[in-house]
Amino acid sequence: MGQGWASWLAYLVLATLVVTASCGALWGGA
Amino acid sequence: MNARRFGGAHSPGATPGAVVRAAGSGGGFRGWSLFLLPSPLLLAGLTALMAGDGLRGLVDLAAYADLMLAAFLLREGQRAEAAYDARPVAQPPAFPRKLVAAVLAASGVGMATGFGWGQLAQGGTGIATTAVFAGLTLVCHILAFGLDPMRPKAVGAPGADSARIAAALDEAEARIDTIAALAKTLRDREIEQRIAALLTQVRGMLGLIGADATDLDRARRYLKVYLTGAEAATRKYAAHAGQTTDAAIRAEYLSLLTTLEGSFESGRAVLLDNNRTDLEVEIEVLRDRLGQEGA
Repeated sequence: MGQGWASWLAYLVLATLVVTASCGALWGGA
Repeated sequence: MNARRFGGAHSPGATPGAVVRAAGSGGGFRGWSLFLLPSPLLLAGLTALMAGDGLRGLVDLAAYADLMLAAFLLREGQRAEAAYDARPVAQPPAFPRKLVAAVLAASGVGMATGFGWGQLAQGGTGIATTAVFAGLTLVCHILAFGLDPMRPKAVGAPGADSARIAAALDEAEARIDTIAALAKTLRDREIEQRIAALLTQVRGMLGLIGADATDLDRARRYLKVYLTGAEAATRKYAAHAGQTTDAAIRAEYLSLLTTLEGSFESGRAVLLDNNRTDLEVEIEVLRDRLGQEGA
């Protein structure tokens, strides 16, 4: 795992996307 | 000298205990967190259903199920990869779990963003948002967790029949596990430790076989006699030990373990020397010995 920081960064973005989409569905439904 | 020659960074199996080390750790937390992060989606689905918005509720729940399946497949993929890494010779997983997990995660986030959140209904920018969310999810999932191992691994043996080698090693591993489990039931520290030491040596030999597959046929025959004998003897002793505490039987079993240790040393040396005839002799000697005391 030479690019440890890149994989963590990707994880953080992924986590943010999942949480944002989920919370968006919870509060911002059309 | 074969052991030296192939004992580089690419033969993890050459280190005894590599198999034990493989499971878990590294990325474990991140993998697990993906089961929790989509929770608001579950809530959103249930809330929408209760509010009578059936369609949106179902979409939310479908997206949630999608993400759960993705998290599950990722975990399975990580396990398969750990097993693959632990073996010196291995086949790639037949089903690319991590890749499918990434695609499912992207579609789940896309569904949640587009329909649950309602971005698609907002036209231009909303459609772009949905596409970016889904696309980024796919890319980040692959960057964060990687893809499945795709190629067969056959260290130091180009063109060897790696499927056969992998199967032979798997079989030996399974036997080792059985013997270790049997040894545990004996509740006898000395025996347990000696068996553990023995099995560590066998694992080391498996690493050598993986590194130099020309040995496979001979080594496999030897290991089969060896492990079959050890398993049968241990099983038999376990059955006896449960009923009596006869010191003679225990002594006999311990002497068999000594024989196994000695035989393994010479078998290993012969294997490294690539001496065909001598290994045949070793196999015969071992057979005789196990025939007397083992089976």
